[in-house]
Amino acid sequence: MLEIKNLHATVDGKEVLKGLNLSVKAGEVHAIMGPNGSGKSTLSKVLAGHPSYEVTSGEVKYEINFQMKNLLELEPEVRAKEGIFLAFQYPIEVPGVNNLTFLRTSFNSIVEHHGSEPMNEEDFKKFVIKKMKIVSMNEDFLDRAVNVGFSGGEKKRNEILQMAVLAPRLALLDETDSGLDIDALRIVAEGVNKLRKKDNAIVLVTHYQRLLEYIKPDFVHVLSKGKIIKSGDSSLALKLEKEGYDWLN
Amino acid sequence: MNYSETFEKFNSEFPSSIESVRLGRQSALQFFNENGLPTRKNEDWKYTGLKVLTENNFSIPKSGQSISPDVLSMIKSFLRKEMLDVVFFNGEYRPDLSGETATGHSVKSLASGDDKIDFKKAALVRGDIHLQALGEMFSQSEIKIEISENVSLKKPVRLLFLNHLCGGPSLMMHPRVHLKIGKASKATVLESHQGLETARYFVNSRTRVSCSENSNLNYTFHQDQSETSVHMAQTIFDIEKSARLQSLSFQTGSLLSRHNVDVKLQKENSEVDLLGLAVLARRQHCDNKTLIHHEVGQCTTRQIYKSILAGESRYVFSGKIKIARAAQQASSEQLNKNLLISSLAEVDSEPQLEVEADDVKATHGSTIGQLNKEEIFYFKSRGISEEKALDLLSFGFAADVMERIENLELKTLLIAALQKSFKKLSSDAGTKAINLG
Repeated sequence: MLEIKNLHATVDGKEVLKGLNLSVKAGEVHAIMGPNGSGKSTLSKVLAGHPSYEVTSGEVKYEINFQMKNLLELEPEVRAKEGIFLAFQYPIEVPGVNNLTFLRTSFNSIVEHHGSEPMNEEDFKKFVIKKMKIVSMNEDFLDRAVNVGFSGGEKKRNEILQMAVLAPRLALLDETDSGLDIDALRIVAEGVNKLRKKDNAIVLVTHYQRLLEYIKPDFVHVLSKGKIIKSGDSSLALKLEKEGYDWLN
Repeated sequence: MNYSETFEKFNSEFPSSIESVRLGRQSALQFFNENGLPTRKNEDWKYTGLKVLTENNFSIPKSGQSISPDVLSMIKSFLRKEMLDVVFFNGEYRPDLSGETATGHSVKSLASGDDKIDFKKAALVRGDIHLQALGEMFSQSEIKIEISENVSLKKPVRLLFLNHLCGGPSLMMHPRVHLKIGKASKATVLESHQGLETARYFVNSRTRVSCSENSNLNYTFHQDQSETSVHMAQTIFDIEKSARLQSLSFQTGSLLSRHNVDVKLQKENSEVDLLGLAVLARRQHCDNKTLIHHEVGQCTTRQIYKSILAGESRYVFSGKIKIARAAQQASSEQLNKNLLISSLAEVDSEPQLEVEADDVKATHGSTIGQLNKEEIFYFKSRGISEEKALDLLSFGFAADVMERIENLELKTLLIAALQKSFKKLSSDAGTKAINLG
């Protein structure tokens, strides 16, 4: 579904990704771990198409309609419409725009892109309320401005709610565990587990092994200085937890 | 152009038989000859220049002009059964185009208004004195709209000012209205100025509003003129005891516009809300000036003025609150909030407080927010286009002002106008926005 080859990317003129390779297939969950500054967040931003990140060389192919297409030439909103979802490390507050409107606009842009009819507000509300149960969110959050006045945990749950509503093929979770207490972490992780299916893939970017106690990845990769230097199964995460990153260098 | 020369020609062609009108014109002319149009050296005009008014020529529209069928059908498309429409074409009241009046509601055209402005006593003249003088020189009538006592009008009264040059030269219009809300009456009034074509013209409108004891008025000024036109507007409110006023200044049109709202609270227990909303793009310039004069105590006023700015547009808010020595226990809040969606847009916000009484509550504040690329990227990452994102964000910013309109017909009409005005924001954001990446 996703093929990254020799990816180099810069932000503010500084090279952060220095030849990254990664292959993700449908149904897989990949965890990308690594110390601060290794390029973890950059990878998810580049894949979602953030304008501050510039790809200087390499390629990213993503499967659209059973064909591998050049992801990098697509606008961020087109990537989203084609099933890529980034759960933000720091979800953005949007004053004045309520959560329900935001979600419905997003959902309808995506379904319309695929030639389906947009959903009216009433039906959509029912649909969302069901999805809110996945992340134990109260209906009141629909009438509030997007992420405004939400606690850290509520913001992260709201991200996973968006993921549940949009049903992406490739979800990138950028440090979704950061800043969460243990209860919030459990709710978010359970939410993600419920959305795990054989035809979608999840890439978790995380600093700590903690999240991986709840979401068991098929693959664990260690990112260091802009490259994946080690890949393995979930036991690699445990080893990293015990021994740190130093033994890899 | 030379306004004095134009006046001499006009005055000899249309001399007035009424002495007070003749004297009024002369007094205004004398002031104008001595002072001309205001320049930026004038403190009240620091951010707004009127060069465009002297560099262009404007003619006076002919009275009772016949209207071609296509313009007529445009006019008719504006009329609504749900409103009490009082139609003005090129500044002139047109009973032939207007709708019916309701019980307790009358519209009259008076050759002479009942306010005599003494231009020699400049300090006492309310609103923009230079423009008042120009209006006094060229105006031929004042339209008096009266809501009698103890009436609650169900339909909104709409003063519908429609402009179209009909292939003729650029025009200047100086319409004057006096709106009187009788004691204990309730009304919703919309003063709507619409350009029917893209054309250059100059409107200098003035509306005086008398809010009698215990009356309740919901007033909206909506200016959606041609984007090459100039509109200088003034609304002058007199608020009596226990009256309630909500005024909204909603500006989306004109190249250069100014709306001066002057409120005098002359008896106790009145309550006034002044709202403002401007949506500007390209090189539009809009100036909102307010003056609230608490002459007596125990009155409450609140102001919220907002702007959304794209392109190279410019917005000026200058709000003055004067609380006289006698106005104890006055309460006045003022807030100006601006949303910049282009790095080339500009806001000048200037609150002024002049407080002489000691037992008062007066606050003011101003904020400028920018759409940043993180916000836009968040929308895009959810499959929402930049255009749609701008729409949602702008609407979110403006919605609370529109929510304050009680009358449903009016609210629907204004929200549609607001959404229409957003089109120019996204078409302008693409090229000149804050580095959206």
